[in-house]
Amino acid sequence: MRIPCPFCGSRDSQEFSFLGQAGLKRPDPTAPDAQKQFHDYVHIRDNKAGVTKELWLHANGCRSWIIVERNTLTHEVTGSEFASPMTKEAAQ
Amino acid sequence: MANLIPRSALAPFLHAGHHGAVNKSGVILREVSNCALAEVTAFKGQKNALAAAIVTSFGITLPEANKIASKDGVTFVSVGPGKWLVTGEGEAERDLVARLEKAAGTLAAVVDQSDARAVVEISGEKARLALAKGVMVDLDPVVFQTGDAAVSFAVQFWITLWQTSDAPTFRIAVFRSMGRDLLHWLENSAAEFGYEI
Ligand SMILES: [Zn+2]
Repeated sequence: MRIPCPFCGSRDSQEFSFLGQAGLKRPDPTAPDAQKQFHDYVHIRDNKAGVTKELWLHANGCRSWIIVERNTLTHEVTGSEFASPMTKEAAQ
Repeated sequence: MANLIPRSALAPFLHAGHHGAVNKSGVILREVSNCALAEVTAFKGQKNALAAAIVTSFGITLPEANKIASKDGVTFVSVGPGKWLVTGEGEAERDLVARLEKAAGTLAAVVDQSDARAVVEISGEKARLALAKGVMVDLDPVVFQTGDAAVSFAVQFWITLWQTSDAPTFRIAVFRSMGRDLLHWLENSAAEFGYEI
C-alpha cells in the first residue's frame, strides 16, 4: 500500500506507523459523566466499513503526523493532510 | 570544559582497497568525515523569517521538500516541514553551528549533530543499483537527480539520502551507532559490482 505524505510524496506504507481513528476529542475531565466519556474516548471506535480518516505517523520519513483518508473495503487511499496546522504552516 | 577531539564514526571498519567482484569497480564508498552537522528547526510561525536570515548569512535559499541547496561548503537538506539537516565541510566545518545559531537567533532551534550521525558517500556508475536493493524510494534518474533528497527507510535504517553529483554521487546520513551496519549492508550490496574503499 502506498500512502501520500503531504510533505514527502507517495511512499510505501512500511515507512509509516498507524495510530487509529482521527478526529477524537479528549473529553473534559471535570464533566459529571467524565468516566463514561473517557471510556468511550479510549475504547469505542466507529470501525466503519468504507471511507475512514486515520492518523498515521511518517516515522521513517519526515516524522509528521498526517490524517489519511482510506477506504477500509478497498484499501484505496484518497487523500491526506497534515494533522497539525503548525506542521502545515511549516511545510509551505 | 574538556577539549573534545573529533573521531571518525567508521574509520575502524573501513578497509581501504578493492573488494567484491574482480576487475571492476562499479561503486566507490567513503566516509564523509571532517563534516560538521546540525539540525535546524524553525519555531512556530518563523519559517519565512528564518529563510530570509539564511539567505543573508549563507546566501542559500532554504530548499523545499525533498531538495538540497548548497553554497561554499554548506548544504541544507530538507528533512521535514520547517526542518533541515545542515552539513559544513572545508572552511565551513569549524564554525558551522556557531554561524547557524547566530543566523537563526530566536527564529529556530539549532542542534549540533556532528557527533550524532555518520555520513557515507556512495558513488560510481553502479551506485544507483547498489542502493536500490535496499532504499525504498525510487532512485531512477528520471525521478531522483542531483539536488534531490529523501528521508526514508533502507534495510533497517532511518536514512537521510541526497544526491550531490551526476556521477552519480549519493550521501546517506544515519544515526552514528547505525553507521557500521549501514556500511556492512552497502558492502554486501556493492560486492557484485566490485567496489573501492
Ligand atoms: Zn513525510
